Amino acid sequence: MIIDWHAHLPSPNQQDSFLKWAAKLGIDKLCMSNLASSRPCSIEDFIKCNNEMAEFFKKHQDQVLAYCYVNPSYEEKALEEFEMCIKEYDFVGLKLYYDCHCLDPRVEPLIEKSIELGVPILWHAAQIQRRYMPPPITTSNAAEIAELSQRFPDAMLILGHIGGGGDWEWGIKAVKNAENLFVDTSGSGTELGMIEMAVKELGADRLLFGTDNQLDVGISKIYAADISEEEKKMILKKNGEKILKRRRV
Amino acid sequence: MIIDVNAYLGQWAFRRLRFNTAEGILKLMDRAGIDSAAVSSISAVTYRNVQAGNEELHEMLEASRDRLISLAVINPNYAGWEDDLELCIDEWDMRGVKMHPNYHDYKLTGGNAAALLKIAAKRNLPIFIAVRVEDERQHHWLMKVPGVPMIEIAEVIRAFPNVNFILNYIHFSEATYLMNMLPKNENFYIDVTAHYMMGSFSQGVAKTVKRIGAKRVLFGSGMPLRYPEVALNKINTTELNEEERKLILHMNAAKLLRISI
Repeated sequence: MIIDWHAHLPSPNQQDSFLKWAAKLGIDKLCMSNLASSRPCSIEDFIKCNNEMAEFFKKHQDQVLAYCYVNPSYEEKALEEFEMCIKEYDFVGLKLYYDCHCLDPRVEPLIEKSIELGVPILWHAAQIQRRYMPPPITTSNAAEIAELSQRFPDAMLILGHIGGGGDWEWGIKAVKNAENLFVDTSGSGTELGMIEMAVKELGADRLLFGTDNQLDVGISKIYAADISEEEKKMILKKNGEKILKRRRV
Repeated sequence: MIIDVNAYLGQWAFRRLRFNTAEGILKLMDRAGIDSAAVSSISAVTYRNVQAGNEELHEMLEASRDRLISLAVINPNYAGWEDDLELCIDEWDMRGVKMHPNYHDYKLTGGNAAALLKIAAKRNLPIFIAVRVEDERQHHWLMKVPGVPMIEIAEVIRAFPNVNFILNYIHFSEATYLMNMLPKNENFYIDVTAHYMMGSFSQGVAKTVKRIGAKRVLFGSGMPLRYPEVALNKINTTELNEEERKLILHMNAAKLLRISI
């Protein structure tokens, strides 16, 4: 099963086309989140986003898996929402954006909960050194997410979009030693060598296929990469299937 | 048949490239199913004297001129450019001119660029404008180079109606600006290199074809900086009839570059 670990709920008038193209491209499951339009978002906003996501997921369970999305600043309320989304809505994991920096202590209970539930957390990440990062300062970069994952070795954290624009060579090197941190391949960036370097430095077993809604671009770069067929299978299918098997609820 | 109108050979100052020799790029082309490519020197993007890059390219293509068509990088602000152009076109059989106004620090609408474009018009040389070479988000922290402004490109398209302008690595939003600014001008072509010019779900390629017709859309990949298969898949995931597909994949390029099919 080819799983796209980084997708987003498109606007209503694009949803049918999105699902149609994903199927045509051989993507079996799209792990989607639905994000609020402004950050940091309110509790009403992220609850609304998750409810919309749940509705869409219910109608398209053959093609879709869903991430819960919260603003960690809401602490116990965010934690409640996360647990509810996993246990009652049957969501696949948690998506965290730049509502809160990854090293903010308010994030920690969510990480601990994800370990308890056996589900992944996908982090939006910037592939850029902190000193060059434009605002907002709550955006986390690869090095910071690597640090977080090293504090929680049992967590399944996913570094979002290594191809999401930015210095991917730096991003790959920044996470090399964070051995429990997965990296998704999504993003509009399709520079030749990106996937090859990620496999060489991190190992194919840490990479997860993703598109960030750039469907044809996202899957083409995996098929085009100068890596073995087995490594492609790992990135497209096997690594993701292992993550699903670690679920405890 | 597939002809790629946006390919590079040489050394890129900002990261190590693979497949950046003649032998290397031919291997990449074979892997992707690309028959021929218009190549320019990527070294020339950052060389002060761009002609050294053209010279390197010419030497590199000694045994590959059947599949690799060369383009001359010209900086019309640099001394001796007229002689360099003559050498490139008349003796080295370079089939067009590649311009990098943003990297070479000149305006397309400036006097020296106009002198070059006048020659292009007189000699029927296609002009390839690299709107960008690399995604700006990847740029070196000491060298942030914005894309070539659409307003300047629009001005020269209008000022030189007898010159064919091929716009390499242009985003869909930028192409839309030009298509809306110049609905009657037919002397500009859009390639599909850009990371924000997509196939499938986003339909950027399809929308461009709908607006200006398949005769003015070209297959370009940005190889070897970018995976050529990614650009090819944009065409494969765009609903086109057979004629449109052929135009985009090779016929338009063959006409512009005088390649016999």
